Amino acid sequence: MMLEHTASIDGTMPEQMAPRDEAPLLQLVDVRKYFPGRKLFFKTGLTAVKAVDGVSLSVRRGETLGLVGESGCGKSTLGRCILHLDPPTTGQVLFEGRDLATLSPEEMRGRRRDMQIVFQDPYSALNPRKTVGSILTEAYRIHGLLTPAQRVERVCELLDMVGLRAEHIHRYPHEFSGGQRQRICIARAIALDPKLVIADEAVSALDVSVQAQVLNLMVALQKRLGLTYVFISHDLRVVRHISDRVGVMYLGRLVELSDTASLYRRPLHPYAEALLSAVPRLGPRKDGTRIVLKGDIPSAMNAPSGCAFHPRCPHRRERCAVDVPELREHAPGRFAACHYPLLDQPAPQEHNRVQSIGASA
Amino acid sequence: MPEEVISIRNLHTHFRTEDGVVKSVRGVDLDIGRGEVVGLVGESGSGKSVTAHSVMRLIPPSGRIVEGQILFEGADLAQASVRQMQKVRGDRIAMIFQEPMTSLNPVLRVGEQVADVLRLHRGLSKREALDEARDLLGRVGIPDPQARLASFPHELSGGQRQRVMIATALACRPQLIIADEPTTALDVTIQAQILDLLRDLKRDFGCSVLLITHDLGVISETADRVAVMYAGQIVEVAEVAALFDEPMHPYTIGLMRSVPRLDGDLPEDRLLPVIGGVVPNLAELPAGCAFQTRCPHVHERCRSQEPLLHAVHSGHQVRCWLHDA
Repeated sequence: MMLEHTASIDGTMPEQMAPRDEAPLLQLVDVRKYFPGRKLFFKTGLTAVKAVDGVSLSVRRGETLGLVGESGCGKSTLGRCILHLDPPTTGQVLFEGRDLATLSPEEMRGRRRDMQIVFQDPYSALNPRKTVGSILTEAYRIHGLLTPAQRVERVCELLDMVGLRAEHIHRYPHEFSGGQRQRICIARAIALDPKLVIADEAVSALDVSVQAQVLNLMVALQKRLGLTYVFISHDLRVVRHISDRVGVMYLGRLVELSDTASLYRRPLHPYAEALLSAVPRLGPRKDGTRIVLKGDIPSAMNAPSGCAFHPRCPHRRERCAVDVPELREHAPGRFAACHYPLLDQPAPQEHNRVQSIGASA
Repeated sequence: MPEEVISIRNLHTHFRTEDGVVKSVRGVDLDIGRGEVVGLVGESGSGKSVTAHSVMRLIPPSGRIVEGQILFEGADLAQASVRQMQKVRGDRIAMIFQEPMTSLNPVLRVGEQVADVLRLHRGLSKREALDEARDLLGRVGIPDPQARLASFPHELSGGQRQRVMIATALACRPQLIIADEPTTALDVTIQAQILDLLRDLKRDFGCSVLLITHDLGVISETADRVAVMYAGQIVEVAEVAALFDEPMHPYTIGLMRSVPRLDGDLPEDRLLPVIGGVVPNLAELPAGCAFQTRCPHVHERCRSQEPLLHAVHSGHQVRCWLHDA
């Protein structure tokens, strides 16, 4: 049903799921996003906040790439750069091989149909004065697609796809629970049959039982529509569940990029290791002592020299304070930006850990 | 169980709303022993925060404790006067909230804020109070506490602000600390630091903690005992190890299964087991068990008779007809 309808929107059949070796759907080349710093009284110098500081990666068609990190690591800014909601300061975002910065406004508008975003807070993402029907038909009106009757039919179909009922079309956002509102946001995101959906903390505001329902919906829609997800979250459990590959960010940089299973089994970067170790376990810990990093995350306005993680790193050596490590492939498909990645160390159980390590801020 | 610091007996807290009377807390019984950390876990609207706010008598004017007792140091807080409560709050029972930025005064230096508590409740002079505040800030792991006394809250990170809140809570050596989602607004590496701190303080100060959270992981790593709340009632209480080893209530089981795992195999289809349906409207609860509409094991009795919380093993209580003796 759905696919036939899609075909009628733009008069073409949807593309086949691409084989793995094909050109990536999305490619980021050394993307940087600097925000000008505040001008302080009596101080003339402007310090830029390096929110994203040189991220390169590619996303394959049909895969889910997770992006994790703590507040201020630049994961959300990176998401906005991908969509050119905030165009990057330097670097390229290639979508299906074309640099988005080179598109005319007209072409860009067409491209927006292929790239959608779902935000964290479904309360502020929906206009409280519009009915669900009006919210969901908006995209068709803007792009001049379908007749009004077809739009209503299509919206009913969308509501069904996200687990809501056709009669919800006349209701307003406040009549729905948080989970239902997020379903409406997802329906809006898939209304134009996008190729890429960026989910920015899309399930973070939801209760555990509702979160599971919405995650399942996202998985089902990905299968049904061949979607590609960039899944941004601070929640390492959720990211493991949904992602094929995961990128770990710290202070604007990608510090590790691996397939999900390897990353969670044995992270290469000490920050990824500490981050995973800090997640509270359900029931007794099986993997030895928890690593508790000391100190706070430094400001992106004043990042430490060398490796930005070195002041908190339990494994740091002299070189780390001087040289910035590049993201390099240390094992097939496993990238880390670290001079001394955790490659040939014994598994955590045997490894004799110190419980509290790192320098205090 | 050690001697009780507080006993909540059959607590009912209702709110008047446009949609009628919302029964947010419907008969909660909970004891907290000396030096014990009790976790209260549940989803939004389960009544966990209203329970805590009832103990502190901090519920908004539309709400009222309609029944029950809160026995603490020989008094019933449910009946206590405003004046009596002022003596209890901050002194005998202290509270830590989720968002330290909104609970700290933005225009007062943190030293003054900690010192104020000491001056008010312990009658210290300004000088003595500031000295003690510095020691407390040091105790909760704030680097260079002497210098930090003069900082404003916005100059501190989220984790440091929460440490200041904890220092304020500890100022009068309270019997009980109520921590309402104390780490929810914090990043995971900072959360680990704060949970460690709470554990150390419990050991060193011997105070009891009521830890309110939606995060089963936080409970698992911090609490001694856990009470699971659903629709205003406690549906299961157990020692933390017993609850995670052998959850009994269908809601607890469903909740644990719907949390994505950090280890082990992922389900082939990437689908999580979910609890179907939605939380019932607390203004129009069905007869019988509140979980009946979402329960995979629902049967005739659940629709007519409300189950009571009863002990299955020693220390492990469940509110479910499946475990009826």
